[in-house]
Amino acid sequence: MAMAHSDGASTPLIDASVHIFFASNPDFRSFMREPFRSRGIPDVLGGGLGRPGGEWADEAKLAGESHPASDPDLTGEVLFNRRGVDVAILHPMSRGVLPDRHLTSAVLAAHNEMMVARWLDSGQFADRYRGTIRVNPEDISGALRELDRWKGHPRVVQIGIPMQTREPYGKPQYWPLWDAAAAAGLPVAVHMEMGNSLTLPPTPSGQPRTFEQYIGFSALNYLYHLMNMIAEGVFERTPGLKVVWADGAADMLTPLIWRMDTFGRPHLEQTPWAPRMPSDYLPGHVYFVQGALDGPGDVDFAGEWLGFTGKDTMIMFGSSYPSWQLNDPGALAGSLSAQQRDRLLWRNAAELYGIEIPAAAPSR
Amino acid sequence: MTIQPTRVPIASSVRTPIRVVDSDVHPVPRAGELAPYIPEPYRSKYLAEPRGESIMYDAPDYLYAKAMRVDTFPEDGNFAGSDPNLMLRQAIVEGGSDICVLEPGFATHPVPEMSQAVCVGMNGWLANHWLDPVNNWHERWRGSICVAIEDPPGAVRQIEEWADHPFMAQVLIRAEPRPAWGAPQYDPIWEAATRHDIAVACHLSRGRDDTMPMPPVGFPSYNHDFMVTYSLLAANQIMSLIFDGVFDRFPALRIILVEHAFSWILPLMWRMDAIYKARKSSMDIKRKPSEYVKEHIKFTTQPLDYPDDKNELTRLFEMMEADKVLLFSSDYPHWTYDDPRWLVKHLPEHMREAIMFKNGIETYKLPPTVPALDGKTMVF
Repeated sequence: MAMAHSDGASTPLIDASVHIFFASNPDFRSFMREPFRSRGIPDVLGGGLGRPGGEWADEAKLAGESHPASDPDLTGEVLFNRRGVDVAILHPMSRGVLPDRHLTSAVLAAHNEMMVARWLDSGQFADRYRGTIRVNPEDISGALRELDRWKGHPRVVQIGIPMQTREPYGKPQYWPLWDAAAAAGLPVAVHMEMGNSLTLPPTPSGQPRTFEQYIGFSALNYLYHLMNMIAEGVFERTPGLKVVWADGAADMLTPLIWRMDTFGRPHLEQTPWAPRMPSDYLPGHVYFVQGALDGPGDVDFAGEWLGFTGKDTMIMFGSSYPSWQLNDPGALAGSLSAQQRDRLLWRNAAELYGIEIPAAAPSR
Repeated sequence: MTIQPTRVPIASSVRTPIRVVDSDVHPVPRAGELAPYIPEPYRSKYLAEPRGESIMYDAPDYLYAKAMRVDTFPEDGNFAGSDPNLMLRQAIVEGGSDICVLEPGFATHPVPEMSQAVCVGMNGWLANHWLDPVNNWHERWRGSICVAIEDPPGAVRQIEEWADHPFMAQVLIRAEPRPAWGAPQYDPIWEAATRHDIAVACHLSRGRDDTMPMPPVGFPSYNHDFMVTYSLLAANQIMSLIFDGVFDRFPALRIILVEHAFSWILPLMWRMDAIYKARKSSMDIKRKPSEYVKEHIKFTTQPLDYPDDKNELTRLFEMMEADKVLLFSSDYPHWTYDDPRWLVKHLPEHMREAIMFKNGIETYKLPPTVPALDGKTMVF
């Protein structure tokens, strides 16, 4: 099923971010083994401020589904038959970063087993789903084992890690994970965890007083990670590493990478392992899921802005279904070129994840 | 040719229009100059003994340059920015600024009242060593009322004491103390500033130990990624000011963000507006967030960040309506100094007067002219 546009063209549509869940806590526990199954574990919701108005989009509250996006067939009905999606990249949303790294890894392994068994290996839409394997970056050896377990699955296309960390992702403890991801040919998607999580304060000024400030800042955290990865030379030492910033905010990349380039040159003597201009490390390494809160909206310079910093080769449409931040592919700015629209709606994702789409011919 | 200004005006009756207002210039006390102005018991208790170098995240060649322009160290061995006459020559006569807004750096201390004691000292020192008739004969220095916002009652006392000083042009706070500025504990500071109709500027000031800005995902590694991501602290403060309703409570409040970079405000305005559109019903604010930004907040031009293709920078100035929100700044005497003659060339022609001086005159309530100086550089 293709997506029809107001100018008469039609394009394929890849949804690069669909969040999936267990049906219930007992359902979640049924995928865990002892000694972890009986442990105290936070729910998937319950961190931070709470969410005035609720977490889920109305469109995702389906009769017959006990938790939004927990039933592959019902969810697929919405995605593929109502929303016009051709292929959906699934990202299991988990509890947060727990103090016990063994427990975190076990929780994530349960999510992976559920995703593969229910979504990728069975159900009427299995061939339309691709999966994100969740690993724990605070348990590198466990993460490598989990990656080894699933990397050969034909529908596993990336690994997923939390945005929240106690050290940014350029630091050397993470390097074995980047090497393994690159060797497996899997991009690494970084997304905010939802449940209660052992973290530093969620903004650089401590706890925010409103959910709006929390959500406004949370996606911006990728900039700390990305600039640290560039300065630490991660993309130089692991040229095959591809990172997907799955909370959006790609529009903030342009000013910050200008700053990184302009301010950065004199610092080369401190970071000789990253000898190129910082912006040179973006193409082929850095991708974004488009967020519903990303600018600039439907203005006449939207296409021009998308071209700055080459963002039009980095951003992939993602709905964040079933979140309240549900993103609408029909809301793209009218000033995007046909090529930019193609890239955003399917081509960037098709290239990154190696997805072949029968309709992947030029749209005009 | 270098002109050595004397302390005698050429002719006090000759005045010249202000064409460059520099919103970020850093004076520093000479050795021993500050201590007498710091109140007891803090002066003797904690601040009498010299403290060692506290640098973390060092700029290139730090041991030799101390993150300064190397030609700004005076010959008497004191630190860069400590000699009003050298600064007059370099920042004004040679550099071409007409007004310099002086922003002393003030260290953070673990105890709020102690931070305030340093601010009290800075204010007395600045008034007596820079803004006094001997050192400000040319009327080109403007001072900052330094306040530690983590001690609101003390901050209000400082504003009350200095707001009527003829050459104090703004209140100066630090960006780092937690929580963010929307918290009600800071309301007395915004109230005092608006009652005196004086703008509140914020300069990044780093910190010691855990008073450094603390990213939610852990600390950067180098001065490079540290300074680049410093802007996110200011971005978060803006979201706090707007979403927590500070501008609704204080409609006359004017905020100036100094040296936090500025181009990020364009996508941040989009982001805040999108949040407002999606969640208006659960928010208490009255207007679109971008309207608050354009009405209440100014940003300084240094550091100017740009891509390979500078046409993109020009387009950004247009997209963000930069003439409504920018103030020129040089950051003298730091190593990141932006010469006004270099900076002005990047601005779209129709925005130059607004950014180089008109916005500054309005923000700081400056007179239109200053005494003329012989041989002073004309920037544009």
